[in-house]
Amino acid sequence: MEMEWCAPMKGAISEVLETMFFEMAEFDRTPAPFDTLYLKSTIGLTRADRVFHITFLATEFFARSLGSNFLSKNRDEVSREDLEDMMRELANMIGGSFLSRMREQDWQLQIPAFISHKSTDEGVREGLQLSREGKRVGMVSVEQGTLHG
Amino acid sequence: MSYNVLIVDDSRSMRKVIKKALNLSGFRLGDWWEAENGRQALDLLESNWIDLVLCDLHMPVMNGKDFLKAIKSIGNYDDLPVVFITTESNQERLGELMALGATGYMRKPFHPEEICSYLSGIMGEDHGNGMVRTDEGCDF
Repeated sequence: MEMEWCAPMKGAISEVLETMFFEMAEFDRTPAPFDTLYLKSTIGLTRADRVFHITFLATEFFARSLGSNFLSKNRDEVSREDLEDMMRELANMIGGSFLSRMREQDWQLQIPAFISHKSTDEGVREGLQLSREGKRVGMVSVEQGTLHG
Repeated sequence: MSYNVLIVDDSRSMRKVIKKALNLSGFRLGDWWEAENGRQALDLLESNWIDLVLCDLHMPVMNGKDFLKAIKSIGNYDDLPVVFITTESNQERLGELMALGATGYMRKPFHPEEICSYLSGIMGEDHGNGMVRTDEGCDF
Protein backbone atom coordinates (compact mmCIF):
# COMPACT_ATOMS: atom_id res chain seq x y z
CA MET A 1 0.00 0.00 0.00
CA GLU A 2 2.85 2.38 0.82
CA MET A 3 4.28 2.07 -2.67
CA GLU A 4 2.79 2.79 -6.04
CA TRP A 5 -0.56 4.11 -4.91
CA CYS A 6 -0.58 6.96 -7.39
CA ALA A 7 -1.52 4.99 -10.51
CA PRO A 8 -4.51 3.18 -8.97
CA MET A 9 -5.55 6.39 -7.25
CA LYS A 10 -5.52 8.28 -10.55
CA GLY A 11 -7.69 5.56 -12.03
CA ALA A 12 -10.07 5.72 -9.10
CA ILE A 13 -10.40 9.50 -9.21
CA SER A 14 -10.94 9.50 -12.96
CA GLU A 15 -13.60 6.80 -12.75
CA VAL A 16 -15.53 8.51 -9.96
CA LEU A 17 -15.33 12.05 -11.31
CA GLU A 18 -16.20 11.07 -14.87
CA THR A 19 -18.98 8.61 -14.00
CA MET A 20 -20.85 10.41 -11.24
CA PHE A 21 -19.72 14.04 -11.50
CA PHE A 22 -19.29 14.49 -15.27
CA GLU A 23 -15.90 16.06 -14.66
CA MET A 24 -12.65 15.14 -16.40
CA ALA A 25 -9.79 14.57 -13.98
CA GLU A 26 -6.59 16.44 -14.73
CA PHE A 27 -3.48 15.67 -12.72
CA ASP A 28 -0.61 18.01 -12.05
CA ARG A 29 2.71 17.01 -10.52
CA THR A 30 3.59 20.51 -9.38
CA PRO A 31 2.61 21.18 -5.78
CA ALA A 32 1.08 24.57 -5.26
CA PRO A 33 -0.69 26.09 -2.30
CA PHE A 34 -4.40 26.60 -2.26
CA ASP A 35 -5.10 30.29 -2.39
CA THR A 36 -8.71 29.97 -1.37
CA LEU A 37 -11.12 28.20 0.93
CA TYR A 38 -11.10 24.45 0.58
CA LEU A 39 -13.11 21.51 1.85
CA LYS A 40 -11.69 18.29 3.22
CA SER A 41 -13.05 14.80 3.66
CA THR A 42 -11.39 11.54 4.59
CA ILE A 43 -11.96 7.80 4.69
CA GLY A 44 -10.02 5.12 6.52
CA LEU A 45 -8.83 1.83 5.03
CA THR A 46 -8.12 -0.80 7.65
CA ARG A 47 -6.58 -4.24 7.74
CA ALA A 48 -5.90 -5.91 11.09
CA ASP A 49 -4.09 -3.23 13.08
CA ARG A 50 -3.05 -1.15 10.09
CA VAL A 51 -4.87 1.90 8.84
CA PHE A 52 -4.43 4.31 5.96
CA HIS A 53 -6.34 7.51 5.48
CA ILE A 54 -7.34 8.79 2.08
CA THR A 55 -7.90 12.51 2.29
CA PHE A 56 -9.62 14.48 -0.43
CA LEU A 57 -9.38 18.25 -0.62
CA ALA A 58 -11.22 20.49 -3.03
CA THR A 59 -11.44 24.22 -3.39
CA GLU A 60 -14.90 25.46 -2.61
CA PHE A 61 -15.30 26.52 -6.23
CA PHE A 62 -14.45 23.03 -7.49
CA ALA A 63 -16.55 21.31 -4.83
CA ARG A 64 -19.51 23.48 -5.77
CA SER A 65 -19.06 22.51 -9.43
CA LEU A 66 -18.97 18.85 -8.48
CA GLY A 67 -22.02 19.27 -6.26
CA SER A 68 -23.89 21.05 -9.02
CA ASN A 69 -23.21 18.20 -11.44
CA PHE A 70 -23.84 15.46 -8.91
CA LEU A 71 -27.14 16.84 -7.62
CA SER A 72 -28.36 18.52 -10.80
CA LYS A 73 -28.63 21.86 -9.06
CA ASN A 74 -27.43 25.31 -9.96
CA ARG A 75 -24.16 26.22 -8.29
CA ASP A 76 -25.79 28.73 -5.98
CA GLU A 77 -28.45 26.19 -4.95
CA VAL A 78 -25.84 23.76 -3.59
CA SER A 79 -26.00 24.19 0.17
CA ARG A 80 -23.21 23.78 2.66
CA GLU A 81 -24.91 20.57 3.84
CA ASP A 82 -24.97 19.34 0.23
CA LEU A 83 -21.25 20.05 -0.10
CA GLU A 84 -20.34 18.25 3.09
CA ASP A 85 -22.45 15.20 2.20
CA MET A 86 -21.08 15.12 -1.33
CA MET A 87 -17.49 15.39 -0.06
CA ARG A 88 -18.07 12.39 2.20
CA GLU A 89 -19.58 10.38 -0.65
CA LEU A 90 -16.74 11.40 -2.95
CA ALA A 91 -14.19 10.08 -0.44
CA ASN A 92 -16.26 6.91 -0.10
CA MET A 93 -16.41 6.22 -3.83
CA ILE A 94 -12.76 7.12 -4.43
CA GLY A 95 -11.76 4.85 -1.55
CA GLY A 96 -13.85 1.99 -2.90
CA SER A 97 -12.62 2.37 -6.44
CA PHE A 98 -9.03 2.65 -5.20
CA LEU A 99 -9.31 -0.59 -3.21
CA SER A 100 -10.80 -2.42 -6.16
CA ARG A 101 -7.62 -1.56 -8.11
CA MET A 102 -5.19 -2.75 -5.44
CA ARG A 103 -3.84 -6.27 -5.49
CA GLU A 104 -4.32 -6.67 -1.76
CA GLN A 105 -8.01 -7.40 -1.37
CA ASP A 106 -8.48 -7.64 2.38
CA TRP A 107 -8.56 -3.95 3.24
CA GLN A 108 -11.82 -2.67 4.63
CA LEU A 109 -13.39 0.72 3.98
CA GLN A 110 -14.52 2.70 6.99
CA ILE A 111 -17.31 5.26 7.07
CA PRO A 112 -16.15 8.53 5.46
CA ALA A 113 -16.03 11.79 7.37
CA PHE A 114 -16.17 15.44 6.43
CA ILE A 115 -13.37 17.23 8.23
CA SER A 116 -13.84 20.94 7.78
CA HIS A 117 -13.76 24.04 5.75
CA LYS A 118 -10.24 25.45 5.96
CA SER A 119 -8.67 28.62 4.79
CA THR A 120 -5.03 27.52 4.80
CA ASP A 121 -3.36 24.40 3.47
CA GLU A 122 -0.76 23.93 6.15
CA GLY A 123 0.38 20.33 6.21
CA VAL A 124 -1.59 19.20 3.20
CA ARG A 125 0.77 19.96 0.32
CA GLU A 126 1.93 16.38 -0.31
CA GLY A 127 -0.33 14.38 -2.57
CA LEU A 128 -1.83 13.90 -5.97
CA GLN A 129 -2.69 17.31 -7.34
CA LEU A 130 -5.90 17.91 -9.26
CA SER A 131 -6.18 20.80 -11.64
CA ARG A 132 -8.67 22.30 -14.02
CA GLU A 133 -7.74 24.67 -16.80
CA GLY A 134 -4.29 25.07 -15.27
CA LYS A 135 -5.49 25.94 -11.79
CA ARG A 136 -5.10 23.72 -8.80
CA VAL A 137 -8.53 22.66 -7.60
CA GLY A 138 -7.90 19.68 -5.37
CA MET A 139 -5.62 17.13 -3.90
CA VAL A 140 -5.73 13.53 -2.73
CA SER A 141 -3.31 12.04 -0.25
CA VAL A 142 -2.84 8.58 1.25
CA GLU A 143 -1.21 8.51 4.67
CA GLN A 144 -0.54 5.81 7.20
CA GLY A 145 -2.21 6.42 10.52
CA THR A 146 -3.23 4.71 13.71
CA LEU A 147 -6.42 2.87 14.53
CA HIS A 148 -6.98 4.60 17.83
CA GLY A 149 -6.32 8.27 18.19
CA MET B 1 -46.54 -2.07 -13.40
CA SER B 2 -44.46 0.28 -11.28
CA TYR B 3 -42.36 -0.63 -8.28
CA ASN B 4 -42.28 0.86 -4.81
CA VAL B 5 -38.66 1.32 -3.83
CA LEU B 6 -36.91 1.89 -0.52
CA ILE B 7 -33.49 3.54 -0.84
CA VAL B 8 -31.22 3.01 2.17
CA ASP B 9 -28.05 5.08 2.26
CA ASP B 10 -26.51 7.36 4.88
CA SER B 11 -25.71 9.90 2.18
CA ARG B 12 -28.64 12.17 1.39
CA SER B 13 -26.93 13.15 -1.86
CA MET B 14 -26.53 9.54 -2.93
CA ARG B 15 -30.17 8.76 -2.16
CA LYS B 16 -31.16 11.65 -4.38
CA VAL B 17 -28.78 10.57 -7.15
CA ILE B 18 -30.08 6.99 -7.06
CA LYS B 19 -33.66 8.22 -7.30
CA LYS B 20 -32.72 10.51 -10.16
CA ALA B 21 -30.94 7.65 -11.91
CA LEU B 22 -34.03 5.47 -11.57
CA ASN B 23 -36.21 8.15 -13.08
CA LEU B 24 -33.80 9.05 -15.88
CA SER B 25 -33.15 5.45 -16.81
CA GLY B 26 -36.78 4.61 -17.42
CA PHE B 27 -37.15 2.29 -14.46
CA ARG B 28 -40.84 2.16 -13.52
CA LEU B 29 -40.62 3.85 -10.17
CA GLY B 30 -43.82 4.02 -8.14
CA ASP B 31 -43.74 5.34 -4.60
CA TRP B 32 -40.37 5.61 -2.94
CA TRP B 33 -39.00 5.98 0.55
CA GLU B 34 -35.62 6.92 1.96
CA ALA B 35 -33.80 5.67 5.04
CA GLU B 36 -30.46 6.74 6.48
CA ASN B 37 -29.62 3.34 7.93
CA GLY B 38 -30.90 -0.18 8.39
CA ARG B 39 -32.85 0.67 11.53
CA GLN B 40 -34.90 3.35 9.78
CA ALA B 41 -35.39 0.98 6.86
CA LEU B 42 -36.84 -1.71 9.13
CA ASP B 43 -39.35 0.81 10.49
CA LEU B 44 -40.39 1.83 6.98
CA LEU B 45 -40.77 -1.78 5.88
CA GLU B 46 -43.22 -2.41 8.69
CA SER B 47 -45.63 0.28 7.59
CA ASN B 48 -45.32 0.43 3.80
CA TRP B 49 -45.66 -1.90 0.83
CA ILE B 50 -42.23 -2.03 -0.76
CA ASP B 51 -41.29 -4.06 -3.83
CA LEU B 52 -37.55 -3.48 -3.89
CA VAL B 53 -34.86 -2.33 -1.46
CA LEU B 54 -31.69 -0.61 -2.70
CA CYS B 55 -29.22 -0.61 0.14
CA ASP B 56 -25.79 0.74 0.94
CA LEU B 57 -23.45 -1.49 2.91
CA HIS B 58 -21.36 0.81 5.10
CA MET B 59 -23.71 2.89 7.26
CA PRO B 60 -23.77 3.99 10.89
CA VAL B 61 -26.39 2.78 13.41
CA MET B 62 -27.25 -0.37 11.43
CA ASN B 63 -25.20 -1.32 8.39
CA GLY B 64 -26.49 -3.07 5.31
CA LYS B 65 -25.33 -6.53 6.34
CA ASP B 66 -27.09 -6.34 9.71
CA PHE B 67 -30.19 -4.95 8.02
CA LEU B 68 -30.21 -7.91 5.64
CA LYS B 69 -29.79 -10.35 8.52
CA ALA B 70 -32.63 -8.63 10.37
CA ILE B 71 -35.16 -8.85 7.56
CA LYS B 72 -34.24 -12.46 6.78
CA SER B 73 -34.76 -13.36 10.44
CA ILE B 74 -38.22 -11.78 10.48
CA GLY B 75 -39.49 -14.09 7.78
CA ASN B 76 -42.12 -11.82 6.22
CA TYR B 77 -39.72 -10.54 3.58
CA ASP B 78 -38.40 -13.72 2.00
CA ASP B 79 -39.50 -12.59 -1.45
CA LEU B 80 -38.41 -8.98 -1.09
CA PRO B 81 -35.46 -8.23 -3.40
CA VAL B 82 -32.58 -6.48 -1.62
CA VAL B 83 -29.94 -5.09 -3.94
CA PHE B 84 -26.78 -3.53 -2.56
CA ILE B 85 -25.39 -0.42 -4.19
CA THR B 86 -21.98 -0.20 -2.62
CA THR B 87 -18.35 0.78 -2.94
CA GLU B 88 -17.39 -2.64 -1.58
CA SER B 89 -15.36 -4.67 -4.06
CA ASN B 90 -14.08 -7.48 -1.89
CA GLN B 91 -15.50 -10.66 -3.43
CA GLU B 92 -15.50 -12.53 -0.15
CA ARG B 93 -17.55 -9.87 1.61
CA LEU B 94 -19.90 -9.56 -1.37
CA GLY B 95 -20.24 -13.33 -1.38
CA GLU B 96 -21.27 -13.20 2.29
CA LEU B 97 -24.09 -10.83 1.38
CA MET B 98 -25.29 -13.15 -1.34
CA ALA B 99 -25.10 -16.10 1.05
CA LEU B 100 -27.21 -14.16 3.53
CA GLY B 101 -29.91 -13.69 0.91
CA ALA B 102 -29.06 -10.51 -0.98
CA THR B 103 -30.58 -10.51 -4.45
CA GLY B 104 -27.58 -8.83 -6.06
CA TYR B 105 -25.26 -5.88 -5.95
CA MET B 106 -24.06 -2.98 -8.02
CA ARG B 107 -20.88 -1.08 -7.51
CA LYS B 108 -20.69 2.68 -6.97
CA PRO B 109 -19.87 4.63 -9.10
CA PHE B 110 -22.48 3.61 -11.65
CA HIS B 111 -24.05 4.87 -14.84
CA PRO B 112 -27.82 5.52 -14.63
CA GLU B 113 -28.57 3.10 -17.46
CA GLU B 114 -26.81 0.32 -15.55
CA ILE B 115 -29.30 0.67 -12.73
CA CYS B 116 -32.31 0.30 -14.97
CA SER B 117 -30.93 -2.71 -16.82
CA TYR B 118 -29.84 -4.45 -13.68
CA LEU B 119 -32.97 -3.78 -11.66
CA SER B 120 -35.29 -4.61 -14.53
CA GLY B 121 -33.58 -7.99 -14.67
CA ILE B 122 -33.99 -8.43 -10.94
CA MET B 123 -37.69 -7.61 -11.20
CA GLY B 124 -38.12 -10.10 -14.02
CA GLU B 125 -38.34 -7.67 -16.89
CA ASP B 126 -36.30 -7.69 -20.06
CA HIS B 127 -34.75 -4.31 -20.64
CA GLY B 128 -33.03 -5.65 -23.73
CA ASN B 129 -29.60 -4.08 -23.72
CA GLY B 130 -27.55 -7.20 -23.29
CA MET B 131 -26.66 -6.74 -19.67
CA VAL B 132 -26.57 -10.01 -17.80
CA ARG B 133 -26.68 -10.49 -14.06
CA THR B 134 -24.05 -12.84 -12.72
CA ASP B 135 -22.85 -13.84 -9.28
CA GLU B 136 -20.09 -11.30 -9.67
CA GLY B 137 -22.30 -8.33 -10.44
CA CYS B 138 -23.07 -6.98 -13.89
CA ASP B 139 -21.60 -8.00 -17.20
CA PHE B 140 -22.10 -6.11 -20.42
